Amino acid sequence: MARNTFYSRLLTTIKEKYASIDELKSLTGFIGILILAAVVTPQFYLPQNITMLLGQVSVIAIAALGEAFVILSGSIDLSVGSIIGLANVVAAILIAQYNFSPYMALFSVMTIGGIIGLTNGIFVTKLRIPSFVVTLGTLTVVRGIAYIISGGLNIPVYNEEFLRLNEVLYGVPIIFWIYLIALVILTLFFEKTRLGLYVRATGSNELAVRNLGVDNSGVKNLAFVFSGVCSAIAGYVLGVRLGAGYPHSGLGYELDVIAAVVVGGVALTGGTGSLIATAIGAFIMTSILNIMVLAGIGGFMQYVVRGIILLVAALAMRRAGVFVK
Amino acid sequence: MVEEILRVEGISKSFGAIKALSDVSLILHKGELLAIIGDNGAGKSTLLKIIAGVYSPDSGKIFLEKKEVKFKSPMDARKAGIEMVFQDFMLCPDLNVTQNVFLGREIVSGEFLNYKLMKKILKEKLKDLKFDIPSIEKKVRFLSGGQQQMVAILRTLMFDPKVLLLDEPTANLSAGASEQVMNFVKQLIKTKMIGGIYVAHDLNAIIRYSDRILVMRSGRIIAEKMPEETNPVELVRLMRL
Repeated sequence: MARNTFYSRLLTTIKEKYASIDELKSLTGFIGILILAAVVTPQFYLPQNITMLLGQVSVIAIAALGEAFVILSGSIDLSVGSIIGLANVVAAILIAQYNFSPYMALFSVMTIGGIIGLTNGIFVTKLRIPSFVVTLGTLTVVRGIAYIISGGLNIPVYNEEFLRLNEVLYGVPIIFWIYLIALVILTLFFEKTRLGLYVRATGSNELAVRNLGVDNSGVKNLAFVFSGVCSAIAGYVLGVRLGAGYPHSGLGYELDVIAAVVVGGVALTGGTGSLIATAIGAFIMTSILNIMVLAGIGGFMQYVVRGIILLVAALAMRRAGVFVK
Repeated sequence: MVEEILRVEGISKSFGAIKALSDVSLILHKGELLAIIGDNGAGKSTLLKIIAGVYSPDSGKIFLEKKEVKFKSPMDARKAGIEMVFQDFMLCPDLNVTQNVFLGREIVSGEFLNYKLMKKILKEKLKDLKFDIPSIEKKVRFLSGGQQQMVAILRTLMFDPKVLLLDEPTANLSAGASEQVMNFVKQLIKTKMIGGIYVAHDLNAIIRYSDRILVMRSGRIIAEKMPEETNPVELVRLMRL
């Protein structure tokens, strides 16, 4: 009897700990996918494939960092795919046609991304328009600008310094190192600073945060700026991978980015989740795609499977009470 | 005579065409729990929110320890020593107890949050107040309603407030939890000699816990009663005259 009580208490403690660590749920899912890969497509573990996977994951994962900030603060940013496209085109034009150094081009697109993010933020906080509607508008406007400035044409980039970023350093693509640096800096900011805490607090209970005298509008603006900047970096990195600027690049990426954030365990209602969990979410979504390609599953079926994964993740979060406020 | 801690003089406030408060004045003493009662729309919550810096009054003055104060935001009021406890706790369910208690007043070392120091201070405060919280690392969403309201009250006490404003603090609590919360507040006000203003609908609780009762109607204070000299029937009559 006493032994039963001990085990039931132990089980409750383990369950509570499991529920309280945001990363564990998505990590469990990722381990499941790694096991699945070992059974279904062992070639998944070939070094060349891992290197390619790390390159693939970088674009979505960088944009997901910024999107996670927005979602954690209780809003949503649908404009990320278009900002990726615009940054990709602008970086290519600046380097190929205006002889900008790759670093100046990066700084420029980050600034543009930040301005678009701030515009989103101001519409949401000052004009009180729901973020879904605001960013749906900017999604279209920004994509239109990308088409206008490129004339709808592809812009190849032959700058060696820029293309060198597509190489591998210590077995890992340089663009993935860029992502890791961004992940470390933003995780430090998110977990250890006041503003990072306020992002979560605003998503958790905006009214409470405001009543305590915290500038919640400023916090939301900051989240949108982060999202714009991260998407711009993602667009730049996509340009590195493609070796060109394509005006239609990043089309539909907003859904992949949001899916990565949600599968990582960040609640769409805000407040719950972490950037590490988002990183795991990005790995889950990219790995599934990779496994399906290796297993010879067609492109149309890939859409269906990715959608089902998202629904399963949402169901798991519902069971864990993440959607219940 | 017990010293005054808060004085409100001639406060008026309108929201568009609706006059929420008309020339409201009151005095709160140290160690006193003053209750304000009235029907819905009488102006009780508006008055508390003006004192807490959530709203600015159209006219009138507020004096804290005999010095005039003007609050542009709730943070100004908190810095001056006026804290508010809300009916719906106003906690962030996804943050843990420590993060909620220090929210808006975090302790930082350089640019980074100093959780170690915050936890140490919180543990000492819990010991001092004989407060019972399961774990300061636990997310607030996993606590019961009574425990959540205790965390909300704890947040107001961390920085030694001078005035505690309680806006229906037990409205969402069970009978047992309500009693626990109010007994704690009452004892605290007496021992720490702070002032408390308590707004609630439960007239039996008002009579049981408060030291003085103000009755509000249509944005005005229309009567003052001592709890030992009145009863719920009389209070209801005054509220609805």
